[in-house]
Amino acid sequence: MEDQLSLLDLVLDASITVQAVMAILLLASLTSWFMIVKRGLYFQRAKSAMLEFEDAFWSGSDLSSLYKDGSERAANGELILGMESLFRAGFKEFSRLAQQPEMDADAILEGARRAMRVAMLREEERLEQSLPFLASVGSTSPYIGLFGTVWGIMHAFRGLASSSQATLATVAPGISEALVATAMGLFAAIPAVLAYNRYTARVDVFVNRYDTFTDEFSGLLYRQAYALKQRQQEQG
Amino acid sequence: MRWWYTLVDGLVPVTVTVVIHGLGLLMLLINWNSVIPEYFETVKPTQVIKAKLVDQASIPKSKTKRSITDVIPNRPSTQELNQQSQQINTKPIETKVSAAKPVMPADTVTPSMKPKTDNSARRFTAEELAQLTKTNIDQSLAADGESSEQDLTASFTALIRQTVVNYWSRPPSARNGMQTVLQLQLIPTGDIVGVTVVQSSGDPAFDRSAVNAVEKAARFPELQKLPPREFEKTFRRFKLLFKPEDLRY
Repeated sequence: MEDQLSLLDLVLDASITVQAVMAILLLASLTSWFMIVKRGLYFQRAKSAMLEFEDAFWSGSDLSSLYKDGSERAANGELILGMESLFRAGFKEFSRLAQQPEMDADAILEGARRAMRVAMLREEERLEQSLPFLASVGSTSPYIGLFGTVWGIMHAFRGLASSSQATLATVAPGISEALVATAMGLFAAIPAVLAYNRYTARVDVFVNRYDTFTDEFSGLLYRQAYALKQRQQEQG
Repeated sequence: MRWWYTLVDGLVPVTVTVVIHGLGLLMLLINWNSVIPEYFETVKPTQVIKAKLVDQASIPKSKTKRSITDVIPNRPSTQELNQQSQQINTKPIETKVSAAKPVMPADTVTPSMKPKTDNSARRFTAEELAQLTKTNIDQSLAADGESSEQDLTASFTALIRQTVVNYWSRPPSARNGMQTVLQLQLIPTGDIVGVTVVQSSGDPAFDRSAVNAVEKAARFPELQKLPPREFEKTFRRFKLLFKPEDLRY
């Protein structure tokens, strides 16, 4: 006649392998939740910054004043991310190339586009940060949990083989504690998979909007570059 | 501004992570024991039970009515029962108790109880008990067509109560109004797989006597006849209240 199994007993009485599995899964779960929230905050901030910048960009204000404004904020220690960093990279390259008289409009534009592409890659990298971790937690932690369970059940049945009186009560606690590992694996995996899917979709949205912005901005720069070069030719 | 972002970036995820895991653990712990419906059953040797004990005196009659071959296959538990009760008696805890208290002759124990009925109750062998319970259940099963499941449950409840009461020998320290609540866990074969004291009377000897009574009963094979749904509903886990009311003081 034994007492009701408590959760703590289940964890503490488990074999070392199963305990290690549980510890790994707990760590994975903690880390993945940390990353999920951190990414969520980052995406939120990136989105609000993007909307803000789009408003400022299409409000018809002077591009160079927009650039100067950004430089001031960067000097204040604020990190400039997302769409604005694309704009800054492109505009910087454009103004630098435009000052050189031997450059023609196409070459200026090509340079600006290249700078923006580099900035874009960097932004993408930033957006996708720690998503691979979520993906691997989501895909592997059920297997880790399953390993713990199989190991625990193996032990439970070995105990059954060595005891003369084979009852369900001799294996039941072992199986119960082994199943805790699977439960933990799923507990870690489900949020990670959900978050990964959601965040990859959001990254796609961001990248699409950045792409669109790059094209629009290039069109704007193209017009300016031609106008500039024509003026130079008229003068020269 | 920047320090604020770093703070939020560090603090918010940590807090959310800890809160979510804490909530998960809390829910798990809260649900751990309360899933099973609880069921209260009072064991008190009152007038009603004494009447039943009188009824038990008529067992030999019913026994003669039935052929012995009919009885034997229906009580595969008797030998086990005896064995188990012997095992229980040889448990280290048990010996410790008897070592702590000088072994009391049965006569010194009984005066504090209803002398006649309890003595006669203790003299019932497991065989007679099984026979008695069998006739009870057979009656209720025979009337199964009319009787609802509630009646069936009630009769099984009565059976369990009666069996436990018959095995219950109260210590001299038992007083009227003492209450011990035990939680019993049964499996569908009728075996008791767990006994815990949920609410102590304050007197360890009294608690132990209640636990001993249940452990001596060991199993109620008649429960196998109960429909599984009914079993799950009431007998998988239930509480027994031990409360003597027939003592002199």
